[in-house]
Amino acid sequence: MKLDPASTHDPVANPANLANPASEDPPITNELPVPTPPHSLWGDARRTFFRNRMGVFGLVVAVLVLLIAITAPWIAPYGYAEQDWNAIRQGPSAAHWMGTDAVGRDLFSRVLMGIRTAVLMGFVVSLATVVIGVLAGSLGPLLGGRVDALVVWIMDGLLNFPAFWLAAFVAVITKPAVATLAQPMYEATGWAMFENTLVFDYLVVFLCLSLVWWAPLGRLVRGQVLTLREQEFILAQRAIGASPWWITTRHLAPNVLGQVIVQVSTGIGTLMLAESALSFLGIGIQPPGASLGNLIYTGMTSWRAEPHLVLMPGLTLSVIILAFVFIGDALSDALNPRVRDR
Amino acid sequence: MSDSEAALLEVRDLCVEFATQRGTVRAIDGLSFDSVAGEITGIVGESGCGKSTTALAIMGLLPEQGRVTRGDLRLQGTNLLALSPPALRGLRGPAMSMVFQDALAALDPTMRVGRQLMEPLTLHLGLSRRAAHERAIELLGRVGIPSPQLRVDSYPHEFSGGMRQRAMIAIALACSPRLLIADEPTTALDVTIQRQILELLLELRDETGAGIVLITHDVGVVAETCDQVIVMYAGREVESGPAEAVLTQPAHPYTRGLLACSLDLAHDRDRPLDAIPGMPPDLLSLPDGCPYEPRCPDAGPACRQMPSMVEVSGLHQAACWRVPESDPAHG
Amino acid sequence: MDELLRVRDLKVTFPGPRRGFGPFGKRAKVRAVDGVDLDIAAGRTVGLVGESGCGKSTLGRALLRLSPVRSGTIAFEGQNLLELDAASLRAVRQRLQIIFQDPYASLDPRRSIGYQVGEPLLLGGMDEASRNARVSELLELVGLDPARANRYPHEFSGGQRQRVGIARALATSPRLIVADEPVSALDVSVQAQVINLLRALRAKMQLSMLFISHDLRVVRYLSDEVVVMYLGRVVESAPVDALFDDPRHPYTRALLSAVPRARWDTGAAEIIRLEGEVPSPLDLPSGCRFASRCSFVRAVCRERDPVLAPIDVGMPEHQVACHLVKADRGGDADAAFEAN
Repeated sequence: MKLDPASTHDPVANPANLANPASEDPPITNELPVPTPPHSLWGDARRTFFRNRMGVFGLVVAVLVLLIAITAPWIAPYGYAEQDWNAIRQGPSAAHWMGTDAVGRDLFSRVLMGIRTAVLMGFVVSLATVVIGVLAGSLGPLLGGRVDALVVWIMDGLLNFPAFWLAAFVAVITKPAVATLAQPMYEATGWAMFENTLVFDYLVVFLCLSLVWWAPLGRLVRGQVLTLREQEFILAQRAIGASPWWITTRHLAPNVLGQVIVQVSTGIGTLMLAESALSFLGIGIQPPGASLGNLIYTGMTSWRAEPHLVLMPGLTLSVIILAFVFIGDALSDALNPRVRDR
Repeated sequence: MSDSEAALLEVRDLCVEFATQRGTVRAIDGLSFDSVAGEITGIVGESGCGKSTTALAIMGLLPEQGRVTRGDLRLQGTNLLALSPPALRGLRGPAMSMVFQDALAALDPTMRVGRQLMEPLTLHLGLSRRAAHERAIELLGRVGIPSPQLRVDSYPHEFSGGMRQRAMIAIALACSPRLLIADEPTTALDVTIQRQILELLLELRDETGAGIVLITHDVGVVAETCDQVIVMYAGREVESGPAEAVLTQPAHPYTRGLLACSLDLAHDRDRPLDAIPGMPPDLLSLPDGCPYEPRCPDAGPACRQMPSMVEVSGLHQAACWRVPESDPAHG
Repeated sequence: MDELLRVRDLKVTFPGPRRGFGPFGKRAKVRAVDGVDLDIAAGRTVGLVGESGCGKSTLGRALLRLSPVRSGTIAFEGQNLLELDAASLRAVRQRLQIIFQDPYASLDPRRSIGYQVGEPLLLGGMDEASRNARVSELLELVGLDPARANRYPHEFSGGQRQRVGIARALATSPRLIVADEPVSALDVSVQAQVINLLRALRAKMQLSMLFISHDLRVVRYLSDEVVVMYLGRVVESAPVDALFDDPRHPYTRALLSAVPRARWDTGAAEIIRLEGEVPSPLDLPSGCRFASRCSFVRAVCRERDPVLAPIDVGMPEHQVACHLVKADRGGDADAAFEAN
């Protein structure tokens, strides 16, 4: 019932946050307060993040990866689908930095495209999960009643299945459906992309992952909204006459954002892995499309003779995922509300 | 503090520091006091004064970032700071125990109350499970929990706040310790329940002859229960002595300020409260001399040097340069 | 008397835990506020005391429509707040504000204090320049440096945050403030500062206040009238001096005697010890709700619920809900009961 005032200043409870002395009543001033810029929780978080070396390393790698993904078609020495039958199964050399595969395609170029795929999938699907997850997670508690019950039912349903296998299942089912749709869509719109099987691959992977991967985030958002809703500062908002929309956008959302960011950044790594796994299993991106997963798969058959065909994409994938995991960890520390609020 | 009985707990020049992100914080600086068996020693102060830290330091329960950097802690002659962790663990329960403020947090929510009560009994006293169970029921009854034979199998969340606190007291008393430390045991409770708990503590003191160290921020509680009191501010002891003397004739300006702004039922409604100006100090940037100087109405140039404890009269001491001059009768 | 606030027979119920199987069990109802009348005249402060579970916070929040009201009326400046539509309610909120207990949870950690103090004005459509001026004015009024308006709540101490909460409540120049345990979570010395602040502001801005607290000492200091609640009902209500000098209800007397007093204070009144705990609000006993803990309990107490009535014909403001008090007036309890 009663708050413990000791937890504020008590170094036992929280050594890091002791209030700055400043004038409480105008006539009495302790010392002139040193003018420091106001530090918001975001600012604090940023500073803490940059103090974390692993996080910074991860960020550097991630930025690099992002740049590569964007510029891949231009920096790749060869086309990713370009086959050179004179140079099949070659090890790393000056002409082909990572060697070539069984049909003479330059592995380095393919890895670059693979990075592009991974990043595309990781970011695009993350975006989709954020949109769906945040909407579902916040609309449920806000609208309450049957809508809430429905949302919870769907979320719980999804969470009951192992996400990856569910995604794989969805992919397997939708692929033929998408394929059969292709012809009529092409006829209807005349867009060339409907003739391209690669586009279907991407579309299917995007769909299946988005439909399944939003559930944990949705649950997180829902939990946060439910807790925050009972906090006194939200009550205070209602007391001053703010509408539910106002409260959601101006007060609930910024406070939920922190956890969402952490979840998403740690999740990007898993998403990329999932995409690679789907491709590895033959469900996702198929050759001639380049995904780190299918590169590993095709390289597996001859790993003894040409280990570089597995090593190169494998190492690349590992480094990228690690980088995002580091970022996620560092963000989690930086945005941890318990340390920040007191 | 009486010299006729050997002190149960002797604290001498205790210093505790915490390593924090922003530097080293001295949570306790040179605290000295004795706690005598059969008496209640109160430690009173506000947030950040170090009272809770004192309790943890005595029990050896300081968190990782905290260390005792100086001083002596003796329980019935045994130097607590020189003990190995297993030896210290052996003392917690039979020799000294602690009651925490938030009973809900201090009790394991997944374990029945009876089992939690039985733990110290089987661990320290070596009682068989059956004997421990009997004793647990007895203890619950002793602290005033109705139908203890049924309640012994309940979970903490099934108890009300007051009952949980009683259960925690029962656990603390299970092995009949000589020293009981109660850290704000009633702060989170309703006032009528607070009265029940305080009276329970007084009864137990009379029955068991244990020495109790009662930590609180409420001077009213001190006035009602404590034999002697120590007033703390910014980690330092600023005044100590028999409770009646300290609270009716306070010598230190902080004690006076604290008493002046503590409301009682007789305060004149037409007068504004004599609030202490300013804010509790930031332990990271304490001034060199007396920590109370920035807020003290009697501050002077001498206050830039840390005053030591001087006798006001008999066992009543205060750490203030003004003590010899000021008239202790005015408060 | 010019009554700013008139509450009649207010009932607030919460859904309690389910009894029975899973989603099919019926939910018991928690009658947090069970038929309360309350009046606050302009410029007066009414103190509302009671222990946890008595419904005082729920009542305070209900006045701002923050609790689910089941029945009753809340007439503020003549209008029944429970019948207003959203737009009119928003207008009324400008004149009826609340201060919360927890200085850490009552402010959004991610917004500057200046923004939060000015938010009620922003919602009311005030332009930025006027808002900033008013925010500076308000911060100074509560003793904070206006230059720190762009700082965030975690950069302030508990007492300062509470001042921010007070500034926010005063932003729209309300006439009535509900203060829900505003100083309970503060250190003693800071508490005194905030209490002084509330006193000064109250005089300066001619505020009426509903001061909710479990601490009788503070309530006595700040209130003109006091209302004591127990398990959702009012058990005693009186002008402050009358209540503290001549408490009539056994619960009030127990509350008063529970306030810690010095051992050496020989003039203190007798101590009334309450046995047991507050009964569960789900399982309310029949008859007087306090009967299970009352040291003066008689047979009639378990049969009939006492009604709030003046202790004496000549003292209409001092009211008690207790069978024994009525019996005091001469004539037996039944006759007195019938007369009401």
